[in-house]
Amino acid sequence: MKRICLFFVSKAGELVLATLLSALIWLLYTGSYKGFLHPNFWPFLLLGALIIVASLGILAAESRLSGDRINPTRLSINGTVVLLPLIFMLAVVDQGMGTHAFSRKVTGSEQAALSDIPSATIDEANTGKKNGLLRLPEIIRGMQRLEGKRVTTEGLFYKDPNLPKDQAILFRFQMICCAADAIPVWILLERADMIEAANETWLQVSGTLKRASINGNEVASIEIETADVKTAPPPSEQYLFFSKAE
Amino acid sequence: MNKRIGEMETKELIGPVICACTHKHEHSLHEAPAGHTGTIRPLLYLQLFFFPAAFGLIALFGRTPEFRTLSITFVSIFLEALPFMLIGSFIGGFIEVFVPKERLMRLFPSGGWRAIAIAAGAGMLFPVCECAIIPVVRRLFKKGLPLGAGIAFLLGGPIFNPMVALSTSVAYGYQWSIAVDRLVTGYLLAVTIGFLVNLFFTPKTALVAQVNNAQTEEQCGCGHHHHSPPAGFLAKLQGATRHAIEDFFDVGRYLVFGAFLAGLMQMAISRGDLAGLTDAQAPSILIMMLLAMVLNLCSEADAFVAASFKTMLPYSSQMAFMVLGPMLDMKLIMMYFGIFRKRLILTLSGLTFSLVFLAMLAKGWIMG
Repeated sequence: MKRICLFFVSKAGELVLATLLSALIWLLYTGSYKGFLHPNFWPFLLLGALIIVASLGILAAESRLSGDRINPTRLSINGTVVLLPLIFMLAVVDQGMGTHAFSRKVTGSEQAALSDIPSATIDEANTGKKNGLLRLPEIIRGMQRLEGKRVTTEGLFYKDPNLPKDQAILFRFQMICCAADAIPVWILLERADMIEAANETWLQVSGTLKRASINGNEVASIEIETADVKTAPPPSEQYLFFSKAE
Repeated sequence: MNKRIGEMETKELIGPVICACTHKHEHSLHEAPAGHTGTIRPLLYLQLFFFPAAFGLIALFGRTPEFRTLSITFVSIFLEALPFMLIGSFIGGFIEVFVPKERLMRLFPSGGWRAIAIAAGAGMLFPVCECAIIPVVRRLFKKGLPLGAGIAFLLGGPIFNPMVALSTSVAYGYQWSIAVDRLVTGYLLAVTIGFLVNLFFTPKTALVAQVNNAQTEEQCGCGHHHHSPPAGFLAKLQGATRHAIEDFFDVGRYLVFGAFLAGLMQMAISRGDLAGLTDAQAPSILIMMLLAMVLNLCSEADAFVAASFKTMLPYSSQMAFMVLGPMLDMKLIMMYFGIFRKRLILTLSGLTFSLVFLAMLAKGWIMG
């Protein structure tokens, strides 16, 4: 028993690195990393994995040649702490951010900021071409051009208790680098009292685009004609990303 | 006789102890110099308690919306930082083994104004995020990098770089004046703080023993006297790897603590409610600075978050958010514990916070 303990203590550094490597490979292979990071981040995760592989190779060659024990206990325990985030990752890997995160991140003036950010993806030829759907940023940025027209879009439903009974929010998160910096992208839904859905239900809504005002901020609003509950996509597809890959 | 694991480690591990430099030492760690303990402190084992605590948290709160926000934020900050921590640790490891102290000292001969000014602007040539900078600067300090220059690089590097300039201008609709304003302000503050820290601290009073002791030892950072460096490229490579892993684990745990705190803060604090408290100059600057410290965003992304406040808050408070965040947030403060003593961390935090506040107040007053 003592020998087993000593073995794990002396090899804990390598075991920690191997576990991190496994996690990185799994995240890249399944694409689950997109539930936490921008899709374009994969080269950095791959580089991290390669660095760990190289380290393990060098460590393995060293102990094979010298036959000596290597890692002090202090470093082994410190290294093990590095595995803590992986435990939390396993608990939420199948979930995306929802209404709680929205309530914490929303400022009310995101739409104005979004309109100012240069868009590489919006043009007349592309709008509405993705299965007939417009994405939320496209609606917000094209608010003036699309006002009065019938639009269809999708996102997470949120019956904000601070809004009147006939209003609700349809939102998604736009990620810049990682989920921590994600900005809520949202529009107002009018005639929302016709919707019987729980918060965080994935809805596809169609209606007429209008402009509304909340706390002095101009916001896009859809007067709902139809609202269909859909199966929510996986977290990696719920997020929007700042890039041409959207 | 039952022995504590700490004693077992020093006496009963098979074979002699090899330190990070790949030199073998026949004496036990009981004889290690100051900064290296011979037995393992009980507090170290307290870290193992985090694992059952994590499982308990998941079992009790795993499906709550608050836990989801906390966990996704925590994990995303860690995963984003992980590759850069590894890169920074390996750069540090290679610096330790392959860069002689004399060559480094030629770049920073006096540690005065010139060294500080160069270090604060080094991010333009070596754009690295704050997570990669920490292990690199740690190793540079061990090699004798002057204190003020190291501080200036720590503070200036994450702001004064081309990637931050680009992301800032994009976030504000290609208004390059805002990007230039951010970079210049960050640079000047980094130089000022580096100079001030240099005035009141020495490496001995600023750096933790493990880093400070290495400055007075030959070649290796393990604290043991050596008569010759590792010979051969393979031995050096092994030494560099060993140093890198040591740094990664040492600094990485602070990253984990800081990322967890950041997740807690993002779960608990509402940005809209906080920003909506006031739009008066001074209080809004303070609020945005506190927000920057708790959100722990990377310096390429924070401009987009700052821009989302632009119809609510004055320009000076948005700039305060963008300048302070890369210099001082909870994750960075935790990681500083791997390099600096508590007194320096407190002084650095207070100094950075105060100077950013005063600078933004002045900016707001000048702009009217």
